[in-house]
Amino acid sequence: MNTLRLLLWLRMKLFLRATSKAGMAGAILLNLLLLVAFSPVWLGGALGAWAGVKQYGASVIPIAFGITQFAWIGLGILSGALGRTFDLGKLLRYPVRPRTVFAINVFASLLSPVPLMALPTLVGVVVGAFQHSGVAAAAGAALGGLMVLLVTATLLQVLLALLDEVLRHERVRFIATAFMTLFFVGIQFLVRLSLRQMLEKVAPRLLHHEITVPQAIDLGARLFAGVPTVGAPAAIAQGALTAAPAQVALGIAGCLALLAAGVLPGAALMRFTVRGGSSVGGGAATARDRAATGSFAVGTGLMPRGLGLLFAREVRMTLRHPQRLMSVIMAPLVGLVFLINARGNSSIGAGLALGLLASSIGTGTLLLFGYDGTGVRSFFLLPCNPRDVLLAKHLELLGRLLVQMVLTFGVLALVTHRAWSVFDLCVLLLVLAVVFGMLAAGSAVAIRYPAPVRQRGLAGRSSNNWANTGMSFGMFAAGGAMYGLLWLLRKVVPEAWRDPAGMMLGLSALVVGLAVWWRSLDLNARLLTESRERIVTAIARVTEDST
Amino acid sequence: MSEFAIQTHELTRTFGAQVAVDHISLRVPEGSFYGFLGPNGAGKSTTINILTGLLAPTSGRAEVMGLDIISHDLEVKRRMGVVPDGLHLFERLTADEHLRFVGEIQGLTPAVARRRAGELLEAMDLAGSARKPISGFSHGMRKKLALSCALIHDPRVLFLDEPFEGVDAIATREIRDLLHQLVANRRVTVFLTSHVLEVVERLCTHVGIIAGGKLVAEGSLETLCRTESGGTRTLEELFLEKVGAPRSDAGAGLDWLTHGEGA
Repeated sequence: MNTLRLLLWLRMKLFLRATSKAGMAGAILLNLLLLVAFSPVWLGGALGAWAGVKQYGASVIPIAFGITQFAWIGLGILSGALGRTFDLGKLLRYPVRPRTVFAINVFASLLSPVPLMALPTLVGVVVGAFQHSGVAAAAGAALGGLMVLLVTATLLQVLLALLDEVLRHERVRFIATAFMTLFFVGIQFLVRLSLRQMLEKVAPRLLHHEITVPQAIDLGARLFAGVPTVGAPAAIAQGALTAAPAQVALGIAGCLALLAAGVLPGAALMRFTVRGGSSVGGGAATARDRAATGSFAVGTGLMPRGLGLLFAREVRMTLRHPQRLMSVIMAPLVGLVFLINARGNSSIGAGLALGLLASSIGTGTLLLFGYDGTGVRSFFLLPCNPRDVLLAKHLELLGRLLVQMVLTFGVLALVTHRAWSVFDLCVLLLVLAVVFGMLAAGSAVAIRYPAPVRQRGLAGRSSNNWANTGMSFGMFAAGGAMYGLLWLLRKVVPEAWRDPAGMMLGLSALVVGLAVWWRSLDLNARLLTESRERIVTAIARVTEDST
Repeated sequence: MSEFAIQTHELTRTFGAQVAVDHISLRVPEGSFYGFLGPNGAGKSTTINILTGLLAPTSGRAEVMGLDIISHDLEVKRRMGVVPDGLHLFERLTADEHLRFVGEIQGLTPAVARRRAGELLEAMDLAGSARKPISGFSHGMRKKLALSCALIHDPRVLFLDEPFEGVDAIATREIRDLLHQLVANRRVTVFLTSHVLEVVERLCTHVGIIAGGKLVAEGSLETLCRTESGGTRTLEELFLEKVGAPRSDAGAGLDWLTHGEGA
């Protein structure tokens, strides 16, 4: 118990000292914005669960619990957002049981955004149960909801610990990322091909009462109840609603068994991963050096010498880093899905695809120095012009964007023989304007608030959460405003002038974006020199501590 | 050209209310092997970080090879090689690539950078790992590679912050001999910090001692180790006297540890 108290105290201290007061305020503000942005999800879930349980009773409960659990685990694994914040390697030097640390992680993960957004759905179930069958049913539903939280959090931590172990070798991480990418792209096509056909068949039957709503609910309930991690908590709530104490007892026993079955292997996995010396680097493999006989900066002849060397270094870093390399392929694949799915309105599809490609550059800008690790010190120890350092990084990002665009639209042209319209070109110019603006603003953020790369599961992003969220909001706001302006312009001007006016708007925006970016290079270079201590502390020292 | 390779004038660095480096004025003669000593937290690394451009001074100024480190930062960096405390290597590059990158960015032609990289890797016993990513290197290998990076452009001044920390005895001897030759044959100035006084005593011609951010002693090792009565003292004795270390009473107040709980 004393260990538990100490670890909770430690965790609280680390949490409170993890960010400045201003950073904390920013993080709270952005989380509130996120909460508003995702309100259709959690509010919809809450209302749906409440109305469903109130009207149809116990059979809706496994569906509500199941959807909550699946969404939570899916998002948790994909984003890696619920990663542990404890450095187990350090903690295991002390006489601390891994299962205690594991349990703390489970409880602490309940405070992450996804579980918090799941909470209204569970509350909806409780309120619905109260209105359907009274106080005892509500109490049972509350206990079932609590068990869903605990079981799901435990299950997710076990899965993440498993992923940590499986993906600790970089090559496996790379293969898994590639597999997941193809898997999700495949799902998109499946959705397009089969689900739509299925819905087209089922929906009319549902509408014409060939399948009743209770029948559909019953089918869903049976499916979800078959999953033990959903079935056991649901049994508690269902038992309370139908006044079946044996079912409640069975549900509680099932949940306790699941928790015990999760905590023990989870803790063992954590201990195994730590003792196994998890290393992201895994540098046993020999890297082939095709340029061993020439200059380091081979192929950068048109650039000034210093810039060429720095650019060549950036390109090599991307080619050697699976997550950076995957971002080159991932964005076009998802972009293609957008384009193919938006067959009814190809221009919107093109806009969305371009916006998506641009957003991958936005994320990259936030990691301007994050991937350099301890090497970031070299930029300040070597005779590098800070402006060249920034320009090299920007050129590499723009190069990546160019490759992504060629991949996306090249494949699309081959598959669909789609022709470019003037409107597409206007969108392209506007997106490029936003990209240059992002390079300027994102670099300033990356320099002023440097953060190392957070690598967990399949995710690799800046560990500065509020910067990630802020960048995404900023990007979509700027992109949306540009698109809105173009749309408005095309509404206002006579038809004959639409394309020229759109092009004028696009070109003007691009010129402004370019000018802002070019000017920002000097300003950000100065900021880089002034912020070198902060960058070294935030990136090099943190990386050292973790190696 | 000044006779001093490194000079500082009232160099000061504060972190909030804490004064890490307090108006220090160093004079490091060209071609000297200068040991910069001090207890933990005395300001050694802060000073070396200011001189190498990783930190900005709060006030005062510093010159390396007669050039102001702020206004001529790039020229200064071309004349110096640095092995900082902590790592500074790009983990995803191979050892050979890293050396060639550093060499070329220091102004060497690709051919010269390639040749020197190969020779340095051979000399440091890293040739077998030349094409391997640095991420797989041990601490000692990283230190040797960092030293190679600091040497590849034939600098006039070398800043070495704890260069022997984590390096095995064989590598330590190799590095020590190499540094000795650089100073003796090429008049390279070496500015070194180390906690191992025996190493400093064996290698250094000059010593500076910093305590509480202030420079408390500076001069040639020979002069500093001479007592007023004409005798000599060890560097350890000088160091302890200058930093005002209290008489050793190790274990005092720790009876439960040195004699057991029941004592």
